[in-house]
Amino acid sequence: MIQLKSLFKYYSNKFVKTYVLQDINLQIQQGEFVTIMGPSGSGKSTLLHIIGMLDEPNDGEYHFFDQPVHKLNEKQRSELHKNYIGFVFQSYHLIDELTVYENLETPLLYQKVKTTERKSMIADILDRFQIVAKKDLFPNQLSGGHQQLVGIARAVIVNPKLILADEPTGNLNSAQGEEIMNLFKKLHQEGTTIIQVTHSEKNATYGSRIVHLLDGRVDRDVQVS
Amino acid sequence: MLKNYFKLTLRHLLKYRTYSFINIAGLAVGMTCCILILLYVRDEQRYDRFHERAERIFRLTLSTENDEQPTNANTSFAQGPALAADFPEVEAVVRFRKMGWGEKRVFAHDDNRFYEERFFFADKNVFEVFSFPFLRGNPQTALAEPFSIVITEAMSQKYFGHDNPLGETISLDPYNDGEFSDYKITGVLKNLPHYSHIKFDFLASFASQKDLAVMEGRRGWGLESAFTYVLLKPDVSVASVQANLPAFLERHVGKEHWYSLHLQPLTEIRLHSKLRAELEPNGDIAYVYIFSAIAVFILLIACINFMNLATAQSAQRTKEVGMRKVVGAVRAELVKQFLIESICLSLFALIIAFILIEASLPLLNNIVGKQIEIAYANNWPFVATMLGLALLTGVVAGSYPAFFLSASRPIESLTGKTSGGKKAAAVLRKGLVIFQFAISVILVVCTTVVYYQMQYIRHKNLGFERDTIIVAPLNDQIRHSYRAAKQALLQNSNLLAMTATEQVPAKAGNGAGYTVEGLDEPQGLTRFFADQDFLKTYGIGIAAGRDFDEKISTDAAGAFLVNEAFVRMAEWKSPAEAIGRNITMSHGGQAYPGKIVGVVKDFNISSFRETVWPLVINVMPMDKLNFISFRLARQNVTETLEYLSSAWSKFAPSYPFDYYFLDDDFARLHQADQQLGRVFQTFAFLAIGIACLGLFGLAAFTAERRTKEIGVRKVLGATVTNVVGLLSKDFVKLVLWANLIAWPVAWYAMNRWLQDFAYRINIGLWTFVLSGGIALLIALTTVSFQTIKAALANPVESLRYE
Ligand SMILES: Nc1ncnc2c1ncn2[C@@H]1O[C@H](COP(=O)(O)OP(=O)(O)O)[C@@H](O)[C@H]1O
Ligand SMILES: [Mg+2]
Repeated sequence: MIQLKSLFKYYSNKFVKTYVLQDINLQIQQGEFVTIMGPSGSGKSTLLHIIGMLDEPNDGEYHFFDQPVHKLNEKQRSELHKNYIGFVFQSYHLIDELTVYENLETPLLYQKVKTTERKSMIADILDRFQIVAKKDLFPNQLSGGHQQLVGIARAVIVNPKLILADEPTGNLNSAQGEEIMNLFKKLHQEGTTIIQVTHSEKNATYGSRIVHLLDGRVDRDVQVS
Repeated sequence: MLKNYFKLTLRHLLKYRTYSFINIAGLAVGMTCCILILLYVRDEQRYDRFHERAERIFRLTLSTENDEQPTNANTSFAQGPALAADFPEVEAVVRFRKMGWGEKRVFAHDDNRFYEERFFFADKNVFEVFSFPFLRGNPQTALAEPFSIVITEAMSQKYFGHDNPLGETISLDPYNDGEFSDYKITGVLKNLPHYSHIKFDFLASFASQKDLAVMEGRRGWGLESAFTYVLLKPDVSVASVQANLPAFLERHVGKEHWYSLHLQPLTEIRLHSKLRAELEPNGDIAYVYIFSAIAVFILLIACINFMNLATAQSAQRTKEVGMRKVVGAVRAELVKQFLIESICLSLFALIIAFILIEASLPLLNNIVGKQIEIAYANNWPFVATMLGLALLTGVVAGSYPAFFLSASRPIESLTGKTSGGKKAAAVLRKGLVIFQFAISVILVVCTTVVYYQMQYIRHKNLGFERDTIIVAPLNDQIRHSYRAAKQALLQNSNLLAMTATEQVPAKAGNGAGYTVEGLDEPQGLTRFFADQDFLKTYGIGIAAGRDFDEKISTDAAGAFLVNEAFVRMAEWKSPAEAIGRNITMSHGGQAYPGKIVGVVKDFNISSFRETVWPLVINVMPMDKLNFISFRLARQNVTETLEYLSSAWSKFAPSYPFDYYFLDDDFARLHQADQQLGRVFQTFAFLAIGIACLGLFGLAAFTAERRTKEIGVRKVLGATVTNVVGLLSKDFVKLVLWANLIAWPVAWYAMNRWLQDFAYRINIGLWTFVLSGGIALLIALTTVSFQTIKAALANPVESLRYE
């Protein structure tokens, strides 16, 4: 599903190039649940953003299914992104001015889903995530756990083939975190490919494979049973 | 999706109330200005176009200059019929006769006796050429008979108290010679719209004139108060008619004619004509352009506020943009979203603008002297224009933020990492603020210059004492008893002098032909008929020779005075050279031979746009004179006027005492310039207001962004003054830059405007310094609200969240 070949990412600051990712080679099959771990600043988020097509590598190849992402233009990339990928952030990144319902509606609007269908999809997901009662609240009226639930619901609502989660439980207490992780587990069982970044060993156990990053390189790539 | 955008727009407006207020208020005021000016411009452009055949109607004009540029709107009485007879291209000719210089005439019906100004004689086919709307009567026959008259609705009410006076009579003294005749009402017209350059309340049949034979015969080709309009047949070229006018003139008056004839399109009179003897002061196409430009600029200033605040606010917005991109928005959708947002805002502003327009339309009408109103019902072009304006405004204001914001890369916007775009945006923002203030400063400079030029005009020495002179129409009862009346009236020590004249300054321009000893060609010059007291009453100085003298009997017929401009025209070395020369005036088909006995100092009889024309003054008998001018003492003016009024009625019981101050009449000559001044003033004020509104928002934004820095500085010991200075410095710099751009532009524009005045002020550097200073002061005050607030804030508060 995902194939990265000698990927490089750097930031140039005046005359110095700082490499964030160096020679990343990675293959991820459909249906995997991959955890990316590594110390702060090792390039985990950057890698996730590149996979999510929110950022571009400076060098190297990226194939998504059979599409050469590194050769696509911005518009084509947004199309791929919006049809296949759901993103979950540590800091939720909900739209403050929109209610829970409207936040969930937004990706469907961009996918041009018809009104009636949209309504049923939203009703469905609210139900599945047990946040029906919160649908008319604004993000700042919710607890962190609930905001992240909405964040995941928003990523999941379009039935993406791939969910990318960047420290989704980082701002949550352990009970909330566990709830979120169980949700990922369920989604994975239903067939969604998931890539998560986490610092928690415990969360990593939910997945089937751990990729360790160190200073922008893949340090270790291990399967967990 | 749209619903979603609207909802979001509304929530945004509510969330950032200050910014929303600034944006909407600015746009609303900008649109108000724009629409008001649009209304004004449209009104100027529709002048005289309500006549069905407007495109085929031309006014005959006359040129007394060698370059054949038309100089006079008035013509003579025989030209019209001759044109109609000689030119197969001409379908009809209509003449209007204005009595004298439009002096008021007495109209009476029973006890209703008033002086009326808006009165003409007109040819019977006037309603075949012009489409003045009839309420009652038959347009074809209304003016066919002698002593018939068509009046307007308003006059019908005024004199008859109802709207059907057909067949009734009204009595008037058209020649102001004491001879009243009864005129039968044969038609009632709707009140004339203000957008007609010919304005009247009474139109009497041409055949009623008792001197018609003389006017069309002996005086048929002189410069008279005849206004001639020619209706050409369809598909006829004016140029071909125009080309044959010299031959036409030669056929009728011979080779020795001192003027040429021209045809001027009816629809160009309002904005393109500035001749002597215009029926009313005309508008000016240049002003239409200037006002339109101001409208665009004001709206642009408001749009810039929107752009600046949107980009300044982009920190908040980019996060939203990032999130939307993450959940699948493509750029086009975001651009659409932002454009819809700004269009919504501008539609909202449009609604407010209409409230403002309804409130300020009377003010505009007052400034420009019109009765503009907006017909909303079924006025689709208007509605479409307005929606178009809102749409355009929304797009102009919203496009930059839309493209700027939607371009940000999602990750950068989410992680808050700065990108190069922000710096560019900041530079652009500064540029736009400079632009706003440059426009404002230009308007302030213009306001100042126009104001001082108007002051200059008000106070310039005209060559006579204008502020103490009142003018009243002369009538036959006074004429007959002039000597007795003069003696009696001047008993009052506050009445210093009086004189009877044919024309008066500000209402002069009639000409005559003059043959002067030492000059080869006969000259067409401005005439001035008066009695012997003219110079004394007006306080006009003598440059050489002497004034008229009542004791010298030949003065009554053979003495002429010329002005200094005459001497210059004749290229004589000194005024003294003029004295004693023979001069013969031909007027009304008659020759008046005589000698030049004196040269008067130049005095202005017309607008300051014109240099003083060569002028010839001579004494004429009382029946040729129309006005009486009084010089009043400066004290007890009210009492003097009361005295005059009661004394007047003893000598002229049939004529109410009616007077005006000469000063006011001069002011009226510069009405258009006065208007320009007031328009500048209003719009300069608004431009600065809107620009400051934006500055206020930007200052708030800067202060907010630098809260932490201010906190740190204060902890390190910065005083409030330090902080205010720090925050204001950047804005001051912008305003100074704006001045640098504004000064040359304003100087150039105002210099050009002043070129039109023969008498004008010099624009001093202080004008610029003052205007710039005002702008700077206003800007600083605006910014200070924010900076002082920021500077006074407790530093601990701002640092707590570190
Ligand atoms: N826009 C940027 N400009 C410069 N450096 C950046 C930018 N974004 C990230 N970095 C740097 O890249 C490195 C990796 O960042 P990131 O992928 O966020 O690490 P992680 O998520 O593993 O903590 C960090 O050192 C960070 O400072
Ligand atoms: Mg990270």
